[in-house]
Amino acid sequence: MQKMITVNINNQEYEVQEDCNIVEACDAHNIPLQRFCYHRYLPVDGSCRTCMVEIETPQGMMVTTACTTKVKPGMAIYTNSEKAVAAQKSALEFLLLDHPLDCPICDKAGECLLQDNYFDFGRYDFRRTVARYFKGGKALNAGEHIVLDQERCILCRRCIRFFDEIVRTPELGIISRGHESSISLFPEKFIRNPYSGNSADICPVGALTLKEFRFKQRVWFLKKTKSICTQCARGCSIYIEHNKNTVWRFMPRENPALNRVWMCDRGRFSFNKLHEKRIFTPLKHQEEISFNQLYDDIAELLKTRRSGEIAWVVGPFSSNETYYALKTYCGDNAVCLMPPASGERDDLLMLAEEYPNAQGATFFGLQTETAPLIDKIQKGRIAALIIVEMDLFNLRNDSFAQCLMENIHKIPLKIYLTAYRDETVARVDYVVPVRTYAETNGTFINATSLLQKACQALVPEHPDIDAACIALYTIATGARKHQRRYSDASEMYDKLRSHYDELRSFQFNQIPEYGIALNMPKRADEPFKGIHVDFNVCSTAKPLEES
Amino acid sequence: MAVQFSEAALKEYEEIVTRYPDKKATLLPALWLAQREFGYVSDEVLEYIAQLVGMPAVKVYEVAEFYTMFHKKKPGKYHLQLCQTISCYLRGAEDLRSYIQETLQVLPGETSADGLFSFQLVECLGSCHTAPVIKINDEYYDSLTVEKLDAIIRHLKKNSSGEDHGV
Amino acid sequence: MEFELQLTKRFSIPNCHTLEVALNHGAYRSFEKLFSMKPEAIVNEVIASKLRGRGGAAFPTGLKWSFVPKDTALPVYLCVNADESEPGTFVDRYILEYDPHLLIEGIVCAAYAIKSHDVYVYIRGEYVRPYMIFKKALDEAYRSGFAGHNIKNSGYDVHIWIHRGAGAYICGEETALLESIEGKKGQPRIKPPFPAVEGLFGCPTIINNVKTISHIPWIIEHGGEAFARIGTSESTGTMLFGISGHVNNPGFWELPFGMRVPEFLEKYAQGVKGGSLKALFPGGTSTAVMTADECADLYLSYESMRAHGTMLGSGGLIVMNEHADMLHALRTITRFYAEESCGQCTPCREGTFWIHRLLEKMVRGEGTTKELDLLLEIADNMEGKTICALAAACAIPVRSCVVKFRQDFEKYVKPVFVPVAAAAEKMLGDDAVPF
Repeated sequence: MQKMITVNINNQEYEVQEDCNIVEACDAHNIPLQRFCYHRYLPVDGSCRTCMVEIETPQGMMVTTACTTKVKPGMAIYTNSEKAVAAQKSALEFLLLDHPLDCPICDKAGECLLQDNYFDFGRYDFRRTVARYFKGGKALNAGEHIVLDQERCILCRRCIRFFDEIVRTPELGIISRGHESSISLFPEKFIRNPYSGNSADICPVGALTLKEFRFKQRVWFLKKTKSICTQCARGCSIYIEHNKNTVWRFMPRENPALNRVWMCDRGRFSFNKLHEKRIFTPLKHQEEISFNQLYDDIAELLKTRRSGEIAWVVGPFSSNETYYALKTYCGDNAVCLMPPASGERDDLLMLAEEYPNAQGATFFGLQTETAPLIDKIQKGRIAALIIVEMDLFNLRNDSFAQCLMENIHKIPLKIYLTAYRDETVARVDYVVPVRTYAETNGTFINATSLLQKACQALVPEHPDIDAACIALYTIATGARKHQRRYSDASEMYDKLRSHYDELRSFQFNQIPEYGIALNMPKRADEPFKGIHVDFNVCSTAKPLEES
Repeated sequence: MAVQFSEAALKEYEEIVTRYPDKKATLLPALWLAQREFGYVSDEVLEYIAQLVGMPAVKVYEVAEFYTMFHKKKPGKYHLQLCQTISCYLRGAEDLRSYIQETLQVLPGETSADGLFSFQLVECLGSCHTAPVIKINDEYYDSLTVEKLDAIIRHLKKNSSGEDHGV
Repeated sequence: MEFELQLTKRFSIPNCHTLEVALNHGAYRSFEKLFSMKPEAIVNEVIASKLRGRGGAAFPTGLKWSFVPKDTALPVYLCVNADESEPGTFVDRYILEYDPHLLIEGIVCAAYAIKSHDVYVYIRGEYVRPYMIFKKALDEAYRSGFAGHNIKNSGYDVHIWIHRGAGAYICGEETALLESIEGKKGQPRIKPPFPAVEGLFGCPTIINNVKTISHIPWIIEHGGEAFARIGTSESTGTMLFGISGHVNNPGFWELPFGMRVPEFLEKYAQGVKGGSLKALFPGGTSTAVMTADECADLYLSYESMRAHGTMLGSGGLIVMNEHADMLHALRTITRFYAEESCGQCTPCREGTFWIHRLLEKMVRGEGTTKELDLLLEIADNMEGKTICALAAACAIPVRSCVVKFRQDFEKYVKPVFVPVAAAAEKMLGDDAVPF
C-alpha cells in the first residue's frame, strides 16, 4: 500500500501518494492542470513548461513545473494563483505562436490537446504580428501507418520517449535546435516498430496521424465502447470506436496493470476484420434459408441423435459465455482445439497465441484432448458435428483438422456457427450466422488470467442473428425463440457467475473496467517485461481518455 | 557499408573509446574524426558512426544537426565563419559580411561556384577584444577591416591556384 | 594598487606553454604542499578563500565542492568548463594558450580536493589552436608525471581527457556540458538532482570554469585567507576582466575586484572610442545593460553589480558609444540567443525567436509601440520559466535595453498597428544556416 501524505492545493487539503509529482497529485483529485509533455505512462520530460504551478518553498514562492516537482508533506501548491495562471497562459501562447492553425484540415481536431488546453487555459488574443515561421513539412510518409506533419509538432517528445523507452526502437528525433527544432526521422528511414500506432494516440496535436483513420470520421461523432482486443491472448483493453454501426478504429483503453495505455499495431489495425467477409443469412447446403427454417431443421435433425453421437468443437476464439453454454447445455462431447501459437511475440504486449480466450476454455474445464473424438469420427460414430466460431478447415498442421478432412464423409451432419464467410462455410451442411464479439456482450480471460468484459458496440445486421452462446443454447436445447431463457449474452454471464466465487459478486455491468484477476495459472509473463517506467496512477484519477 | 574509417582513424577511435566509461560518449569525438576523414558528415557517414558508436542512427543525426560545426554538406576549400555577435557587430562585422557576399557571390550557407569558399555566419567566436573576427577553417583572423579581409581572400585565391599551403 | 598576479603571471614569458619554461617559472610548485594536505583541508582552504565560480554564476566554489557526497562508492568526476561562448568573453582561451600548465596544475589540485581521478576538459569546438596547445601541454605533463598515474610519487592518479565541443553556446551550461560529453545534444537537465550528486554518467560531478580552477594552485600555496584578503569582502581574489566594443584599447587584464568601472575604462581600455559612453554590459550580454550614469559609481565586484541590478557574469565588459543604436545592438544580441537556444523548453525556444523577429521588424521600420511593450511581456514570460538560464539571459538584456533606452526604440516604431500583410511571409532570410 502506498504511503499517503497531505498536501495543500489551492488552499484545500488533499491526501496524495507520497512519491507522486504535482501533476499526479492534481489528477488524483481531478484538479484541472494542463500538460503536453507529461504523460502518465512515459518518463517525465519537463520541457513543455505548461503545467506551471506556484509552490511555497523555504526560499519563498516559486513558479515551477508540476511534473518535475515531487510532492512533500504539507506542501502548498497553487494551480490557480495569478503567477501560475500567467505562466500557464504564456506557455500556451508560445506553443501556438507558429502553429499552422490548420485545424479544418487536421485530423486531430476534436481530440487535440492544444485546442482543449487553449479552450480551458489559454488567452484568446492572438499576438503574433511577425511572419509565421514554417517548422517543416506536411503530410510526410513516416511509415506504414503514420503520417508526419512537422509544422504542427509542439516538440513535447512524447513519441520519442515512447519509442526510446517503451518500444526501445529509437526512430524519431528532434533535429536542429532552437526555433528550427523539428521532429524528424533519419533521412530515408521510416517508423517500422510494431507499436507505431500509439505514437499517434499520444501525440497531443496532429503531428502524427494514422493513415487508417485520417479523414475517415470526425472524432466527436464516434461512440466509444469498452472492449478488448482479441488478436492475441494478451487481451489488451480497448475502446471500439464506431459510428453508424461501423467501426472506425480501435483505441487502447487505459489499464495500468495490463496494457497501460498501449496496444500493438497488429491488434489496432484488425478493426476492419469486423466488417469483412461477414455472413448474415443462414445457409443450408450453401443455399440461403430463413432463421426459422434453420432452427427448425436443426432441431428436427438433432432430435433423432443420441447425445453421444453429437460432437461440439470450439476454439480459443469464443467468449466465456460460449464455453459455459457448451459445458452446460451440450453434454460431454465438447472439445476445444488449441491452434499452434505461431504469431509474433515480444516482451511488451504481443503474444504468440493469436487468440483471445484459451484461458477461458481452461477455466470452464473444456476438454482439449482430441484423440477420443478423432477415434469416434474415424469409426463413424459421430452423426453430427457442430463447429463453433473456428475456421476448422483452415487449420494447418492440426491432427484433428486433418482427421476431419479425411473423414468428413463419415459425418452425416455438420453445422457451423460463424460470423464470417470463411473456408469452413463451404464444407458444412448448415451455417448458423452469429454475432461478432463487437455485436454482443461477453467476457474473456487473458493469458495472465484477467477476466475482462467486452461490451456490445454494434447492432447485428439482422435481428435474428444471435450471439454464439445463445445460438448454441438454442441448438442444444431445441428451445423455440419465445422459450429462450436468455435474450442477451450478458444474462448468460449473470447465470454463470453464481457458480464461481471470484465472479459471484460482480454482475455483468459491475465487472470492473480493469477486469477481475482470477486465481489460476497464467499462460504468459506479465507485459512490459524489463521495461521500467515509473508511473503513479491514483485510483481516483480519471482515466486518461476522459481527462 | 560504403564508407569506413581508414586503419589509422580506426586506431585513433579505439584510443578514444578508452577515455570514457560509456561508449556513447565517444559520439562527438567520432563525429570530429569522421569530419576530418570525410570532409563532412553525410547521412551515410552518420549511419556508419551510429554503427561504430552503437547508437541509433536518429540519435546520431540529432547530435550532428544540433552542433553547428558539423558540416552536413561539403564545405568549400576555405570555410569562412564570420562572427556577427555584439562586439564584432559594434566594430564592423556587417561591412565584412557585405564584402564577402558581394566579392565572393555567396550567401550564408552557400559555397562559391568554384567550390573555393563556403560562407557561414556564426555566433560569438570568443575573440571580442580583437573584433571583428573571421575564422577560416581552423584559424582566427582578427582585428579585421574590409581591406585586411580583402588581402586575406586574395591571398587564399592565389594560394589555391598554385600549390596548396593551406591557411 | 599592489597585488600579485595569479592567472596571468606567466603570460608575458615567451613559450610558457612548454613545460620546461613553465617549470622554470614556478609551475606545479603547489604539488608539494597539495599532496601533504588532506583533500578535506583543501576544500576548507577554498571555502576560506571565498573563491566564487568565474564562469558567470559566481557560486562559491568551496561550497560546491562540499556537495559531493562523502565516501561515495561511485567515481567522482571533475569537468573543466572551457566552453567559453558568452558574447564579450574571451579570456579562458588565453589561459589555454599561454599557460596551459597552470590549468593542469589547477585541475590536479581540484581533482585531489574532491577525490576525483577522472577529469574532462570541455573545450569549445571553435578553439582549435587553444586545444592543440593545451593537448601538447597535457602530453608533456603526462610524460613528466604531472598528470596521470601516481603524480609525482604522491600515489594519487588524475587522468585528464579533452572533450571538444562542436559549436553550441548552451554547452557552457553545466548540465548541458555533461550531456554533450555523454554523446548527446547539449540540452540542460532538470535539477535536482544537481551534478555534485548525480552528474556525468550518473556519478557525482563538479564542473568548474577554467579561471576558477586556475586560481586553486595559488590558494593552496598561499592559503585561503590570503586570497580572501584580495579584492572586496564578497568578491575575493583577482579576476580576469576583458573589455571589447567601442573602446580604444580592447583587451583583458587581471585585477583585484573592486575597481571603479570608469577607472577601468580610462586606465586600461583607454577610454571610449568614437564618442562618450552610452551603455555597458558588465559581464557578457546576458547581464542587464548599464547606462553611462549608472556606470559612474559601478565597481567591478559582485556586490556592486548586484546593487545596480546587474551581474558581473563572466567579467567580459562590452562598451557602446553614444552613436550606437540600441535597437540594432539588441537585435544582434537576441539573434545570438535565438540561434543558441537548445530548443528544449517552449518559452525559450519560441520566446527568443519571437523577440528577435519583433526587433527585426522594428529595424525594418514596421514596428509599433504596442510591440515594444510586447517585448517586455515576452521577456517576463520567459524568465524563470525554463530548465536553464538561457531564457533569462535573453530576457534580461531585452528588458534592460528597452526600459533604459526606450527613446532609441521609439525612433523606429509607430504608435499605430501596422498589418503584417505580404511582408508577413518574408522569412528571416539572413539567419545563420548551420552548415
